[in-house]
Amino acid sequence: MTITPLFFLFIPLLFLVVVFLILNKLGERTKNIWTPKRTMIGITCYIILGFTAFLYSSFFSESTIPVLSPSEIKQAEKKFERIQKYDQEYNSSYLKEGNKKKTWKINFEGNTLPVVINDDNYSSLKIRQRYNDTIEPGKALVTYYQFPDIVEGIDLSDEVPLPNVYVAQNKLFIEFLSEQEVHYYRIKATLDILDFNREIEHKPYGRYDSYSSVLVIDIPRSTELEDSQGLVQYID
Amino acid sequence: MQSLTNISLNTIVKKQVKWKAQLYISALSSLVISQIIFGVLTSSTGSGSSGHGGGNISVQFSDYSLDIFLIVSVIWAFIVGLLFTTKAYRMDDLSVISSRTSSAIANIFVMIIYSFMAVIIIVSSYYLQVLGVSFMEKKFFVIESLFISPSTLIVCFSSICLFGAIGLLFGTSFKGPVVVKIFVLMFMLLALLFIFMSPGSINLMPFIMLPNLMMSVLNLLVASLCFSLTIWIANKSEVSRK
Amino acid sequence: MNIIQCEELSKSFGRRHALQRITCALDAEKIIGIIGRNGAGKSTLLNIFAGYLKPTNGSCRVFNENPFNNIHTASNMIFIDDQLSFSHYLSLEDILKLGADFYPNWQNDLAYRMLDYAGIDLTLKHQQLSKGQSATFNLVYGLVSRCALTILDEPMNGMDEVIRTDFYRAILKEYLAFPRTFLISSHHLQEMETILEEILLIDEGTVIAHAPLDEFKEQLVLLNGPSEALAELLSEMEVYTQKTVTGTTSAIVNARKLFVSEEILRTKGITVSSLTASEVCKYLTSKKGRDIDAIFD
Repeated sequence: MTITPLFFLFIPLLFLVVVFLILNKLGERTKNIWTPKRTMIGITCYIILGFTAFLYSSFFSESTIPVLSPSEIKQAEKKFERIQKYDQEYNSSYLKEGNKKKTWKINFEGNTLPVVINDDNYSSLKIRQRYNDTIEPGKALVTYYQFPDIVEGIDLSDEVPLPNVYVAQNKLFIEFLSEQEVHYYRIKATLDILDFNREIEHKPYGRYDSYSSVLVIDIPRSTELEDSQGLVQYID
Repeated sequence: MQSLTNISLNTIVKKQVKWKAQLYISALSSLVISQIIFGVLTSSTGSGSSGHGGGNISVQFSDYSLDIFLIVSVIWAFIVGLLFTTKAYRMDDLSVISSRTSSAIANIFVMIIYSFMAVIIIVSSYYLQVLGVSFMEKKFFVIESLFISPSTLIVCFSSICLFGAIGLLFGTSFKGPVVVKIFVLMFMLLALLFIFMSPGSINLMPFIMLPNLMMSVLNLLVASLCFSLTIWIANKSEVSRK
Repeated sequence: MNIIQCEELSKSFGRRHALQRITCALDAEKIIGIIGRNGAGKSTLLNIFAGYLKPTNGSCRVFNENPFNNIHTASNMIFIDDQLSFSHYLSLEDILKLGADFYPNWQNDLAYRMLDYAGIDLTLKHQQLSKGQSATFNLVYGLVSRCALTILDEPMNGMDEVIRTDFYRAILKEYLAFPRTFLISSHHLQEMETILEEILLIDEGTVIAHAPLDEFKEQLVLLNGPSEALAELLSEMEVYTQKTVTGTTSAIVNARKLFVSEEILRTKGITVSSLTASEVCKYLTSKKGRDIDAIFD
């Protein structure tokens, strides 16, 4: 930390000083009401209130969103590497049943299926094409697989919006929604200034989203997928 | 001749601390009020925020940590340290048995007691804020850690102590002998000059990278240095009611 | 026994010399008046005795110790002046508790009785008192603390006539009940004369007289007589002031330098009369040839 950010601190600091001085003046004005004894009682009440808040929070306010521990994040990281390896080897075995989130059954005419992908925000969604012998000609199966999308220990996978998949004019359209924003309110009972600077080097945080969602288009072997944008990869 | 009373410095300091701790209590209430103000102001943003973009989902984090409360307390401690050495407070000391030494030591003890109280107030303010946030934001409420580790509390205490000590030292040196005043002014001028000339040269990183306990020990060491200097200067200071 | 001993004591504030080479020794258990005109250096001297200021040169010893920032001196000394202040939070009653906590010889009942007598409401704050009331309270505070060295710097400022006389008696009574050293500085010597045992007269930062009250008064005498008879006598000695009206001259001279006996003077038609202490002070400290009338002429 250099001195430059300290200059940005200057204005709030000034504000703080002004607040203190006003409070000091107010304290002198209200010295008849706020005798030392009453002030002490007031402060004690505040502390008790804070303690109650602590008890309440520790017993009742449970977060529905789990936070992964660094070791869990490490594990997830390993998993990602495995997925990546399989994917690069065109091996679809990493696409497990449990990761299936949605399946679209589509019908089309002819032997070619043109694909149009609208992705304004260059999302990380991977699109794969796979031949499936069990599918009749003129039909295709689009399956959305969701893998954990971990940001700073929080799994975002439930928040990731699904794309729109539909057939129009005998073309398969895959449309992504505009960027979604998720805002988390995170309780960190530490000193963030210290933690932030200390962890910056060996932080297991960061985002592992390169393989968090995969869209697989299953087509019969007789069908040709026409991908003019070059975004669809083949997979076994 | 009536026999003279012999009261030890210890006794006097104890009595002064007892009275001062009660009479300066408004300092603590101003801390509570300013923490409430800043707690409310930061209730929607938290002490810090971070964001991760990319993909079709961007994530914003509002982190509710102790930082804002600690910063408020640290500045409070500095101002309170300065206030303790102002004329009004020093004049009050002269109305009872005291010497500059005893008053300075008593002020230091009050400062330490108040720093300790300030830590408790920080904890209270923090959990009240947490409770408020948990009521407002049910869905995206994440608890990464709810329990403050003792070492963090010690860092808080030592930092508040340190700034209180600096405040006391500052206030005392401006009431001290002329030589000390000139020295402090020179020191400040040089420090300011140094900061403006080469702002990059001040690097707090090695300090921040220290483990909590080491950092606390360092803080307390510097604080005790300031305290000793305060007593030393107070010993040499004159007081005049006029 | 000497309670205070000063040697070649000087104090300067920047270029201003407040005290210059003061040498004096004050006895214990006496009521001593520190008398001087405005700006003579009384308060500075008392502040040094109290240990608040450090002498620039020379030494000062109180209870045989250097008083500056000395807890032993502080615990046997109380310094009362009109700047005495207490926390905003304390009512007068609380202040009495505060005093009782610190001063081992504190007389709480006496304080209550005296304040009741003076008609001061104990639920008030010190800051709410009028000038006279706060002076009264401060004096009471100083008296009931019963410190071996009680320094009263202009204690009666702002008090009304009745309370003043009452409290001079109170000082005396307290002194008798618990003998201690009182240092009272004032420029109203006249009304204090009855209680003082000794006078330390300060002018322009130096001690110009230090003597028991009677001795002090005898320093100067007023000579009254025919001008011709006096002229010869006055030419040989220091004359503080001299006035001639229709052949009769009155002059104030130093009694110690009057070597002619009263008998001889009487034969010349000269009468010798004594002065009051405050008159002596006035003449000792008035600057030669200074006359307020001259400004308006």
